[in-house]
Amino acid sequence: MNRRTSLWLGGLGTLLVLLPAFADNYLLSVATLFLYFAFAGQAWNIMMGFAGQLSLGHALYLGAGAYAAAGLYFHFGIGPWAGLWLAAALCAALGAALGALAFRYGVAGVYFTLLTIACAEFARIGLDHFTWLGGSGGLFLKIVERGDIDLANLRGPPEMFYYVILLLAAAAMALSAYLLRSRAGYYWQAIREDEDAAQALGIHTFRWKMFATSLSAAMTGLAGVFSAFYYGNLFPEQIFGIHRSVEIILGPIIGGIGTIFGPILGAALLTALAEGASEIVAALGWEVPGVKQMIYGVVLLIVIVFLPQGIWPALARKLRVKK
Amino acid sequence: MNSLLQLERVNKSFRGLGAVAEVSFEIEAGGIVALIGPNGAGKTTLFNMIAGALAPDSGAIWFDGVRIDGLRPDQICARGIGRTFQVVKPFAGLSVLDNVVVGALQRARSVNDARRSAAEILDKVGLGAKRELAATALTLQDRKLLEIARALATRPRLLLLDEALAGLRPAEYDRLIVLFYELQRSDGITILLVEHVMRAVMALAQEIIVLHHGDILARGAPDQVVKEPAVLECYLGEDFES
Repeated sequence: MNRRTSLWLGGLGTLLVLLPAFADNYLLSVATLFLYFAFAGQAWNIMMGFAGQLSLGHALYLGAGAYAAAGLYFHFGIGPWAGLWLAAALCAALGAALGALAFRYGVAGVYFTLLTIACAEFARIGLDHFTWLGGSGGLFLKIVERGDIDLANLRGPPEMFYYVILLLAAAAMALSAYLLRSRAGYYWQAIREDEDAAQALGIHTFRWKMFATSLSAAMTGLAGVFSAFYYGNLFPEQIFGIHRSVEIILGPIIGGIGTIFGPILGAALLTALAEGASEIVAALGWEVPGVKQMIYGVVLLIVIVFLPQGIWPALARKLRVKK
Repeated sequence: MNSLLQLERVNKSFRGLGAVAEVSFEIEAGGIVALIGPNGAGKTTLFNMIAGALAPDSGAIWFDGVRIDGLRPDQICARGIGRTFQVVKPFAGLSVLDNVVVGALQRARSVNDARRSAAEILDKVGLGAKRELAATALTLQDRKLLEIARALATRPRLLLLDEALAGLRPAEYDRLIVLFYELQRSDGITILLVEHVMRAVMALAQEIIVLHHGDILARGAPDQVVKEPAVLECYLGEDFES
């Protein structure tokens, strides 16, 4: 990391840490949403951006993590700080099972992607009929009085959730940066670029793909835990839907797949644009359902046409910081 | 059994079509052996079986006294066989140095160690000045060198070179011929090469194995093999002059 990079990073970090001091509740909720997408995007980026395995079914881990932690809390009163370990472990196991199935039997490329979608859909339909966790009617977590902070059970004001997700996003960034420079990062990128060549150079490709898949799944599961406790309600249609999977990956694609900062930049840009557009449309008194999705589509088109590598690699050159 | 590599009645067919039939040969440590023959003779199939990319239907392959057929490519690499691909496969998104670091990590304890040894190998093959370039920015000749550097980084005792000279201009051959010669002489690496460029084969190989229709047609010292009528007829052409 060079000096300019540290300077930018330090400035941004300080801004984000101090944000709740001057932001109103609306701005804080937008910032929370941005950090949530930044975190989930980074989790997906490890699997696709680093190791080259395209998942369009990350909603599976989002939902599994969310339901695992919420279920424990709802039925047994076990708080999320204990539940998140189980959620992460469950998601890692799910990712490993899906990976083992695909990588062992040569399900690769488009077929691998289809398998990820199928598993997420399977979970959605399964949970729809699993009444112990609320079924299609949803699972609702009890809310506390505004102002009370029950940190142990992750019940509290928006500021608390903001700092939790900020911590998660920052930790994911540190982990991604560390992994990319380590043996794992080199091996993953080699597998991404050419699996046959990677294997000929002594890389046990199955093992390293499994690692990427499980880690990415576990991290996405944590995003699910956060989402469950932040919103306080869960519906299979919502959390396992393919729109959730797509929502997660837009940030990294727009910001720059395989980069450290791309998923964060992409999430910031998309959240700002989508929220901004919704505000403007509402202020004008228009009824435009789906304006967010339209913005996503337009931004995606522009990026794919003009910056197929994503925005961050181009911006990094402009700012003269390291990619 | 002193040979470094030994193939024993190796067979491989694809959907009933025989690619390699009952091939047996052995290679002593320390030499350069060339595998030649017309297209479709089974050279690349043989290479892929030695490197573990394909498993033989029957027969056995021994490397340094240990049976290796049926092992995965990464296990075979770990035992000391490095290979290059006929169609070069650089890691496009990585720099020249990082391409070689991937190979060096096979033996290095840390990424820093791997970076050091990768830099040394790049200097050796003559890509030292281009180490920070993207792998995609290299010319074909340099990509071939990168492919070799990457394989060398895994510190092989046997190096399999699959048409390392194909697609290059004759003026570019010599640099690679000198490099292979040095690898054998100074580093003691045994080399098995598949090659169509006879000038290189004649300059480098101590022994030639001629493959035809998945079978060994001839084998021996270069100047003798190229005089055999059967070899001239099926591969080199009757007006070939060594």
